[in-house]
Amino acid sequence: MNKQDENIELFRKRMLSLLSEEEEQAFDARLSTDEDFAKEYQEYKELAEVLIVQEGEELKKQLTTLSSAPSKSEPVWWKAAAVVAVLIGVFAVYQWAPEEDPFQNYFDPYPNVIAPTTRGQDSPDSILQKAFSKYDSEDYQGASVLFEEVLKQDPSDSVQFYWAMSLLNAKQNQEAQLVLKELVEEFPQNDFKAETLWYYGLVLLKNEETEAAKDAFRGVLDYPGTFKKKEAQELLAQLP
Amino acid sequence: MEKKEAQLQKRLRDGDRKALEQVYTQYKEAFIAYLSDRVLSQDQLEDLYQDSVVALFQNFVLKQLELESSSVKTYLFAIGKNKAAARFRGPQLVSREEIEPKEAIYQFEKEDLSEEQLALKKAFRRLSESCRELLRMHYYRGLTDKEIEEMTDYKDINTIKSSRSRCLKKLKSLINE
Repeated sequence: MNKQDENIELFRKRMLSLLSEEEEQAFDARLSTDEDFAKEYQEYKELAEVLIVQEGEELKKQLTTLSSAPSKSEPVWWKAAAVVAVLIGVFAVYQWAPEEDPFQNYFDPYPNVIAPTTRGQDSPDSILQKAFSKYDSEDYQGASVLFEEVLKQDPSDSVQFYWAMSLLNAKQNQEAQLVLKELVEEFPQNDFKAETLWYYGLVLLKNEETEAAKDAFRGVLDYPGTFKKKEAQELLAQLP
Repeated sequence: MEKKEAQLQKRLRDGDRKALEQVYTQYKEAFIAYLSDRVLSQDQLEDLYQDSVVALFQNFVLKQLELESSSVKTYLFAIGKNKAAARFRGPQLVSREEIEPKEAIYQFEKEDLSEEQLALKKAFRRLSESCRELLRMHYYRGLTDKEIEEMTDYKDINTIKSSRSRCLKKLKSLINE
């Protein structure tokens, strides 16, 4: 292990209180004498703590999504009501589905979860902020131009995802399909994996590539989490 | 240790999000029954439970925790009792015998962040995904550059170092924007 890694290991242990009492005393003594070491530790700890909070928020979001599904302890009447609701739903699907376009039935705009537009923001001037602001105000055509602009300077899979979403909402389905395809194939680890597959499936369906669409929906089912699982299952059952 | 328990702990250490969901579902009922006389509303309980599961998960990931004398379940309940005591000003409930010192719970919450850190957090979300991932591996998961090299497509360790310093620079510039 090199010297830098050794320092990092120490920083980490100190931050997480994993050092023995003696080691901790030695560490703190070094902090008060070695200025560079102290500065390096400060910087490490500052960012590490930010990332711990950030990651914690994401994990909690995942659990919140999970808990919105009914749990075992719900009273029985609630379950009965749920069954009735599902039956009505199934009935409605059977009644109306054949005449309607599954894309229209299942498509809903994906919310902006990256950079919520807030009033009185200090610096709303970056292109990315502007793009999201247009996205939030449903100017999807405008947003798609700006997202594309941002991507030219600074490629990022999240921004590419929102570029695709803007195109979809602006009904530029052929182009949206290409952008989503690239995301699926070239960024298999992106932040919006299930979302990407879901919308890719929908646009394929719209563009009448049913087999490829089914593959994408199967991908949604394979992905951990609950995003659109139910809907993907429904569609897979309906498609020829 | 029972095999199933050992496997679960391993998955938690690896940051497996499915294991997070598994823990959440598996212990929910028992946890809620356990703390329902101390916490007022159902919403507060749900919130407390989610926070406890997240804290458990992060302790496993950050500290590469291996529980020997206790189980995931007792650890989770100890976290919950601590949190309930802190939030609802109840008596301190955790007795010292329950948790080994080296298994002590690491807690760091949003309220503990400084102003500078809040700005840093905001800026971090605007970084490119590749930067975020690289910084996350180093600062959050505590991986060495060698380990990062093995897990990713970076050409070599020097590229990782230079990319990371580029990302840090970018992050600092975003704070001042």
